[in-house]
Amino acid sequence: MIYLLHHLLTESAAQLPEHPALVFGEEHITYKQLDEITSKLARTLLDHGVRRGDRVAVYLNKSAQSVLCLFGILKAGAAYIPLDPNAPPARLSYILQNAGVRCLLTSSRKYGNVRQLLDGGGGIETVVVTDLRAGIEDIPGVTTVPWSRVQERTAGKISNNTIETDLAYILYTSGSTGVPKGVMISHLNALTFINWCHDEFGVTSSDRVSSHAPLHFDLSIFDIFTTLKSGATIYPVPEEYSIFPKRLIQFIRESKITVWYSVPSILVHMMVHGNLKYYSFPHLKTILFAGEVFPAKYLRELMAIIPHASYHNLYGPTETNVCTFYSVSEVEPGRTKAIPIGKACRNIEVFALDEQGRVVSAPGAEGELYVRGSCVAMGYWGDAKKTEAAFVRNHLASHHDEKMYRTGDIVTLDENGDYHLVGRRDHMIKSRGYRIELGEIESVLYGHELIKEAVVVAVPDELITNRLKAFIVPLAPNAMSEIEVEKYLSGRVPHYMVPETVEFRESLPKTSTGKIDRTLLTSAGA
Amino acid sequence: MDIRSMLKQYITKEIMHELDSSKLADDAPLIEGGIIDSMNLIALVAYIKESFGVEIGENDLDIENFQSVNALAAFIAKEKSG
Repeated sequence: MIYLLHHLLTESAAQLPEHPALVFGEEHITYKQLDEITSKLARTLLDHGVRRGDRVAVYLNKSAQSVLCLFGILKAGAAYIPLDPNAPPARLSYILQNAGVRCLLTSSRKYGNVRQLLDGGGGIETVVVTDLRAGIEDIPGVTTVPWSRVQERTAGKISNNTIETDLAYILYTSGSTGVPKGVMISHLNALTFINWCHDEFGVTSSDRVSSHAPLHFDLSIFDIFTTLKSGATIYPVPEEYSIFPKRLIQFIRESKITVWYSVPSILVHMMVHGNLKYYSFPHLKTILFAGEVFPAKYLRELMAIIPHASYHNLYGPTETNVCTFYSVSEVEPGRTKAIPIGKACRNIEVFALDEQGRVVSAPGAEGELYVRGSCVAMGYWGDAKKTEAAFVRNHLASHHDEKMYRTGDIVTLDENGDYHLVGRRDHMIKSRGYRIELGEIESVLYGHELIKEAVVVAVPDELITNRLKAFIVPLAPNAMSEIEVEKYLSGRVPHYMVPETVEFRESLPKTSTGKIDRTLLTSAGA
Repeated sequence: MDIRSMLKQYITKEIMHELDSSKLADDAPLIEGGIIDSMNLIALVAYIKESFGVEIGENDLDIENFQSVNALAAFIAKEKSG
């Protein structure tokens, strides 16, 4: 029976032991090798007190090791929490404390930051360092486990009593009240997605799948788990390649990537700054994108540059992973309207509800998109209130109780039965594919003693969907500079949440109900 | 001001949000250190064109030239004289 995520690895390792599972630079790891080392890691974690249901954090830059870590944790019966390797330590400390993490896997490159993470009050007891670099200074009160210990360990048989409804991983996402919230995903939730996309996109063992998205993004679930389920090979993309489009293009060509999945911004970056049109990609046959709207003109251009590939727009919040998708056959010349988010994936049901909770089915009518099925996450870690607000009782289910997830996305249906995104119910926006609650940035700003009032608005941008602009009323005129605001924020939120421009005002316009008039400020910011 | 100092001032102020440009060492790793990302790279390229008249083409938009302030300054100086 395959009902836990690591079964995907053990099953493929039994079928294709000598086939490459992971390729990173000069490292080529076969399925058998991956299976063995991850069992050793699981055994080592168990040796150091990791128990079923524990949350183990992974703090690594993208590499073969990062993939390895996930499986070691899962085999030990624990859940993994991927930390954004570029997030400010304060934010990561919050996550570690919030999730009660006692064990952390990291590399010698990130090890220097671990002390900072602990200063935030994290209760880390064990740190496993995933490479062999020597000279790591021990942190008092913490057991540091070198990788050599893992390599030397015999795994033996690891009994794992986890079941499919147990926690597999927690992905932290922007929270409107100022702190990130942890989306709890079970093995069953993840497998619902993995089984669908494996089937839908026909991934086979001869595929070479890039792993571009960071591990704390749910796009990585496809890159890693669907690939291993298929017996295919994962090619993790070094993070710096995303910055330099020429490198990324070279990587895709040299690795002969056959399946690519990313946010549209990266593809646009390669087109606009990397001269993508001068290159050919004979091996690339499937291009998946998600996380933000792909501007029609850029998608049309990409489809002309790589005409033999199939293109698919995937939609779904972290709380459900992908729930609808649309396969793009062509983008008509002159079209500016965004392509649809399409129809529900197999084994998932979605519907749009109006304010009265009635299903909206007339073409053009608007409603909020709700999702039901085994893809719906278990809730937010440690936050019953937010969980209750978003994971609601399905009032349409007459005979039993079940939860459905309210996405907050306003949609319409067209005559073909495809859904289209129209807007949001709240102040969540996308920028470069990142999910940003404007309220999170505002809450952090309000935490500054010199800031009296603050609002952050999204300014539409052709390349990255939205840019951020902050309007701030300081306690006293000239009390703060733009640079001080940005420095304060960059110590607390990820760089993509730091507004590019900060404007100081003496006061902010209000609506008739006394709330800050965002609409007015948004048009002022454009 | 020389190329190096101008670069340091721009990077510390606009990217690192620091007023003190001595906080950035000349040989500090800009990419590995997470200072440069795809967004601010483009802004940096625009700054370099505006301030030094050097246009960085797709072929030179590469890791080696942006490794550190030293590397970038050397590249800009070469382009200016070439």
